[in-house]
Amino acid sequence: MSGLLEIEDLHLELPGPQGWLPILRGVSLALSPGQVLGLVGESGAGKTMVGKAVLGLQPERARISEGAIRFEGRDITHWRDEARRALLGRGMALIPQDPMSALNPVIRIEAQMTDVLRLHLGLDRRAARARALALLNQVHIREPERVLRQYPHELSGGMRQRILIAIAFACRPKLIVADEPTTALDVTVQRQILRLIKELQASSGTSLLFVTHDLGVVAKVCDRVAVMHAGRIVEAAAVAEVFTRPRHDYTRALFAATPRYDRPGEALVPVPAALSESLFVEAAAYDAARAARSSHA
Amino acid sequence: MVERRALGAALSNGRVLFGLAVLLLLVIVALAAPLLAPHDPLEQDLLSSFEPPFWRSGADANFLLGTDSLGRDILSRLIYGARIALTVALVAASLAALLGTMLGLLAGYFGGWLDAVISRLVDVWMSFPPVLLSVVLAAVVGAGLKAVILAIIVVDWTRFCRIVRAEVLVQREQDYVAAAVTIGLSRLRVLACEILPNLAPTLTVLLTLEMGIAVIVEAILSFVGLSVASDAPTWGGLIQEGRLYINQAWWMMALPMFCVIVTVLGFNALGDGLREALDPVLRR
Amino acid sequence: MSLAYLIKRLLMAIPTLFGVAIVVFVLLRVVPGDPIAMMIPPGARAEDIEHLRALYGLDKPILVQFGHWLVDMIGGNFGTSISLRQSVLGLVASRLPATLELSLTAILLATSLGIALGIAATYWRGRWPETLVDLVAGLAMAIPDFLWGLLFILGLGVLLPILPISGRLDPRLETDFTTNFYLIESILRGEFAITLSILTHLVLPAVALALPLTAAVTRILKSALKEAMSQDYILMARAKGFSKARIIWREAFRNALVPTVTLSGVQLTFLVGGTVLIERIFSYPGIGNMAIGAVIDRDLPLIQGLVLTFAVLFIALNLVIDMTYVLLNPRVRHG
Repeated sequence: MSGLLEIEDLHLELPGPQGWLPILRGVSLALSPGQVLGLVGESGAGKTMVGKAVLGLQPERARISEGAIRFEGRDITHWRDEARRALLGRGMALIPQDPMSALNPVIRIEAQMTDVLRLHLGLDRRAARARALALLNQVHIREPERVLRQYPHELSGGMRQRILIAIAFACRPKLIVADEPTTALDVTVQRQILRLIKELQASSGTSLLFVTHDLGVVAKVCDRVAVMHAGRIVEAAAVAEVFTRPRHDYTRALFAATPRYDRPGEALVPVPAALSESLFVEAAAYDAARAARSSHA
Repeated sequence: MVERRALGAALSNGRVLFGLAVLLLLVIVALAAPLLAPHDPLEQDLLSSFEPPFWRSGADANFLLGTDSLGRDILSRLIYGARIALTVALVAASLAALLGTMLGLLAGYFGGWLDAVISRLVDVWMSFPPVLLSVVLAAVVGAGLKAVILAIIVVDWTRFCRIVRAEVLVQREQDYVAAAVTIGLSRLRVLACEILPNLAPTLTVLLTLEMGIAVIVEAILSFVGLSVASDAPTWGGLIQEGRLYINQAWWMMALPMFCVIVTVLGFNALGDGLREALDPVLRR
Repeated sequence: MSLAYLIKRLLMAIPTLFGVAIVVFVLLRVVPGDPIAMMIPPGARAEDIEHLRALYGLDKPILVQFGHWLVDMIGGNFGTSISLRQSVLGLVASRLPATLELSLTAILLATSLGIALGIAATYWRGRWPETLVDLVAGLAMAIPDFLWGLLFILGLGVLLPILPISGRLDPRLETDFTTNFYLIESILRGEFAITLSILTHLVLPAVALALPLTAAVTRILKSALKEAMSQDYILMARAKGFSKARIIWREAFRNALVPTVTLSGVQLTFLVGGTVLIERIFSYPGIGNMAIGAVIDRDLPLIQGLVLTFAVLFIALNLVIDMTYVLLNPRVRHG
């Protein structure tokens, strides 16, 4: 298989007051090298958890009860400690959601960029600094020397996100999980950042798992898209196909619900309650069937 | 409703139970001192001086915990010492709480120059090392229980003042205060009837901790020789006496120290446990 | 920015100092015991007593006394000790270094131990080392420093005599030092036998002093670290591939230090106040010990001088803590 990332029938649960709550119900995905896969859905659909599970950063109390995550052919589902740490930052990286809180407020930018370079690439201070400057140039930050000396609170949200993007690409990972990287930004800045991500992705050939709730973003950046609801993948296909001929009712409803800037007078159409209901019922049925299966086994 | 939940939460907390047990024991011992003590604490018996406690050889069954240099029964002296400790703890802590809370309420609620004056006063007051200040005060006022209590109040009111003031500043901005003001309650009534009850849990915790501190301060003052008349059996005084003879009869110092430590641990456990138990109940 | 802030804080300290001076002065004029009477042998003539009283200026009206005292103070004259017949300033200056050495040793001990325990409790969160740390910290905090001192004397001085329990150093050792900073000077001069003696004498009182502060630092740091570890930048650090130990030390600790410093500040000042009793208990020749003696002897000028000294130390300590906070928090530094 030439697949870079394969998620097979992933089941993830969190402990609740009355037992384990299913968060991911049999998620299956595949990502090839150089591909950008969008993961869409409403809040609570589980898309962020998929990203975290791939990185191995899911909450400690979570458990993966079934299924596997394979990266470059190796089963990394339950990798922890040293094996996982060798992977994180190097083979795969994260672009986090909130640039305001993802940078350490008491450490200068230079240290926060060079630390990962020195950890994984073994560079010394001078070489790491040079590389950090090059990275800042790549993300179009002016006066990179000045920025290196500054603290995060002295920079704007857009600049911070650029730096986080630079950090993600720093060690040339094969896969980057972008967790709603533009959600916390101004609309005007969002487009710039998206363009930047696309540009860097194209030039480096890194695969991207792009988690978002915004279909517009998917259209701009992704090659394929998977639609999620209640921890299940409802539809997955190439972006062009999904956008012109969505097959699942829910996908269609999501499109209809997206506010259109070119039709400002139009009323907003929420996802029909009945549709949502029926999907939740399906999810519950799935849980029941699974529980029955495991008690018989 | 809230009170019952608070009580339930408090009573199911291990530390609270331990603290209450210690407090109860202290109260019983203090109240029943004449009944419990086998001897008169001031009665000297020079022929039986330095008797060892029961776990050592040569002990006299008459004096369970041994005797001191003047033949006075240590157990009886410890029991009567509990009386003094408890009295000081209750009275001094309550009065310090009263003074500090009043000033804290005024400073926090009315703000302006009143707050400025009180806060500056607290700053100056807290520039003194508490031990030194209480020692100086006790020396100034002279010997006696009243002096000790006064010293504790004068030194520790600032603790209540600061915390109450901070709490009032927070509460002042709450909706229920604005509501009370709009229905026409006078400012003092708002302070007394609306804000103060909300401080009850904080004050309870502070009070219990303060009682532990009062016991310690009393022990310090009597250790230094500035507490009640030197004849009367205070734990601190017993510790000081014990220190003089530490090489011959180390238990003379160890036993009253044990009493102080258990008492303080009890009050601290009570205070910490209450804080733990009451906090989530009221944040809900 | 820091310099202006420092100057502003220094200026703000002056009215506080003034307030302290007034309180000290007023407090001691209310003394019922007559200090002069304590110095004179019984049966002295009335005119001798009056003569001494005039000598010490105790016969003038209160305001005049205060005025004289204030002027003297600003001029550096703190009066003469009634019981020791030496200048107060001289007495304080001779004993202050001992107390400073003791306090600083205790503070160093407390901060390093407290930090180590706080980090250990965070690294092993949810496992037995954390419970152990909590227990030890609880105990260390609940029992006041002077009781710890007495416990040490009992346990490690009398029952198991392995450490000295009085004095500053072995009285048989010769010290021909210029300053009274014995510890520092002995190191600088290479007289390590003296250094060793001083250190063994410092152990018990310094540890007793340090325990409550250690407990406070441990608790506060542990709570601050817990708060820091739940932040997004920690997740980011994990996503970079760093180990838990490194994350706690390099990312969380720097952030947790800030609130720890401010909140431990109060307990730090208690430590300095604690020297009063600890020095007395261990017969350590510092200003704390002298203070208790002065109070018992009703030596007004000495008491005033010492209380003022302690107040100055407190205020200076608070200033240092504020400065440390500014240094550690870049957001405050750059405005």
